[in-house]
Amino acid sequence: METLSLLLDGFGSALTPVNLLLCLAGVVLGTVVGVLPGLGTAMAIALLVPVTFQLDPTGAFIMFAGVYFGGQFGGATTAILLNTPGQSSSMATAFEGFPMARNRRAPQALATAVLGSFLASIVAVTLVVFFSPLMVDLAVGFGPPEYFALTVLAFLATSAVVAGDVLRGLSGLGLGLALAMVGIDEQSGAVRFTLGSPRLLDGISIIVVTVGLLAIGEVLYVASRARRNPATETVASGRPWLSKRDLGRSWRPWLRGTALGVPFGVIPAGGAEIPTFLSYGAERTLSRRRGDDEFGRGAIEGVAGPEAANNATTATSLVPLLGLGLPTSATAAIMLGAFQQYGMRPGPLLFTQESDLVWALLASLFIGSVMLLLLNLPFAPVWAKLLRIPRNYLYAGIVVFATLGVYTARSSLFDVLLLYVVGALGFMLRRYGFPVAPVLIGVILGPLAETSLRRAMAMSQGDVGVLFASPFAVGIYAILLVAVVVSSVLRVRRARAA
Amino acid sequence: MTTFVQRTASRRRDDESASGSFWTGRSELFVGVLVGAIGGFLLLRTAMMDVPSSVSFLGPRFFPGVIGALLVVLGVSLAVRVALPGHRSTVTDTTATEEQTATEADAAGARSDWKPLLLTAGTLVAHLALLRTAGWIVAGALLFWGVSCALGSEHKLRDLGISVVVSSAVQLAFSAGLGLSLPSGLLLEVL
Repeated sequence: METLSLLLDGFGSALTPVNLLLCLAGVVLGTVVGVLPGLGTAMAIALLVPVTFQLDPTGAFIMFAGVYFGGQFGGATTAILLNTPGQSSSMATAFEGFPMARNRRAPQALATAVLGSFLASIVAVTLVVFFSPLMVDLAVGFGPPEYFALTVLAFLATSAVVAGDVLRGLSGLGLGLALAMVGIDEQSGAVRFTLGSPRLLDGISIIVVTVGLLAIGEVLYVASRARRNPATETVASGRPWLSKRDLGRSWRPWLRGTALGVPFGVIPAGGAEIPTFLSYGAERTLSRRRGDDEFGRGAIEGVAGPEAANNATTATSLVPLLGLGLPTSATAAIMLGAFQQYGMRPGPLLFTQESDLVWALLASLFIGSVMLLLLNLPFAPVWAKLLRIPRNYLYAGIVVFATLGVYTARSSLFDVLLLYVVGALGFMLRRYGFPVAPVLIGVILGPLAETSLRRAMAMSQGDVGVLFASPFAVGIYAILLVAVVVSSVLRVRRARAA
Repeated sequence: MTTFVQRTASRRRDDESASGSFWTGRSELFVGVLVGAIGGFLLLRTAMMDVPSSVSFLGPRFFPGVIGALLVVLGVSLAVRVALPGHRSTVTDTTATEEQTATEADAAGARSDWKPLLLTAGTLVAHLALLRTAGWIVAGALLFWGVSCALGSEHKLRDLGISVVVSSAVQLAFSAGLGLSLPSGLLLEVL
């Protein structure tokens, strides 16, 4: 009951005209970056962090959440109409969605995607509202050993368990951790890796690293592929509408997709790709069992399930982010970085000290979902026209915006130089298929991991046993061990099969 | 998912069998060397670090030391894996990031176009050099125009106009609207 009244208060502050406008701006921007391939929600939020520094934090986070949600809705539109998933989490949607569009069933595909996304968002956000306080109750008793265990889980899960290639994933993580160590060590005051430059004493700003890796790195990557731009031709489509039969075929996949997506948001599995593919696979298997072989030629179940899974994962990833300060995807990692920029630390303290912000944010997720439904259901084909913006203006604009954001954050030319250097690193990682999520998680959680480890050791006077003293920490290491073993077994099997 | 990976994997092999020297498809060696070098740098600077005497258990050197050693090992492993005979790039396996899409994963690992890449990089360097001296309007316009041209613009003159409009609008929005200062440059200061 207490949760409900807090949520109502949250609606009160989220429904102010300014916050509604920011929410709308967020979901529109999110839909845009979702539609455009190559621009992810992570990049959009990274670019917004320095610019929104003038806003009050509540408004800024309402906007970020709008972007985060909008990206998932927009990604489906182009996956269906053009076979061009705007985000990797919409890849599974394209498998059945594009054949549907070619069979002149694009309106139905869009409708089932948007309605499924909406349903999954609402269900998952409701779960977030009721589970985040539980997560907080759990986290209140956490000390340095538990936080260290959580960071280790996030590090290894994103770099070694989920990433396609362990060597590349771990290297990315190591580079991220190395970037985070530059500057004065908080606990001892020792100066680390500044090469004698006083400008590096404060460390490399998270804004510089995230914008550099995601925006500048991406533009350099696009430049290196300049001659390979895909042709963009919009498929004509009518008004999205579901017949009774389509609705009957969609609602079960929506629920199954939501159920699959919900748990994946809570574990650090690097985002929504895995649950979408699992949902796609599940729907295909079920349809075969029914003796129905429409899959591959545009089965509506294959759109409904993955889209619901995608949005459910996005929403529930806010539970560990807000409750524990544990990001489970690249975008969540950027949001955590943004909290740090505002001097807040997600976790139990956030719920007590910034209670207004948290509940306004959660309330705005409901509002944002409704806005996205209204924006996307009638206008999805209009959004797809965004693909006609010439690529060169788009990326030139991104570079200008990135440079501007970083420069104005501290009025420092040196930061712009660092931005471009990090951008070059980002390009190299992208060029050779190194995943970006481990780098970001390394940069953002690195300091927490080091501080927790050293505090734990100081408390125990150097006894390593303290790290394994609490049942929670032991539980996390056990989960991690199982995950590593299972993923190695799968890897070996796949290698043998290939 | 499997169909997608198989399709791209077969395309990769076609790419590589096209030409035959040892270095073809092995430029990733450079990444391994770089990762190892960064690890070596961390270890070296950690050894040379001035540590305040008050430090008790696990000082400021422990974490950098571990990460440095890890990066050296990873760098060497990456390099060795690339150098081994029968190396086949596994670039297409990295679908685990939010940013990557099917089309891009398809193209990853294929050869780069150097001209647009160098033009873009050159634009960034020029922008850095000009931002303080020439001011935001000039440097910002150059940044927009340079990147736009590097990415294959078809209307270079029209783009120049767009660039000036963009950078001036930004200057106006930031100094008048948000109250943030952008370098105005020597030109405006003289005026």
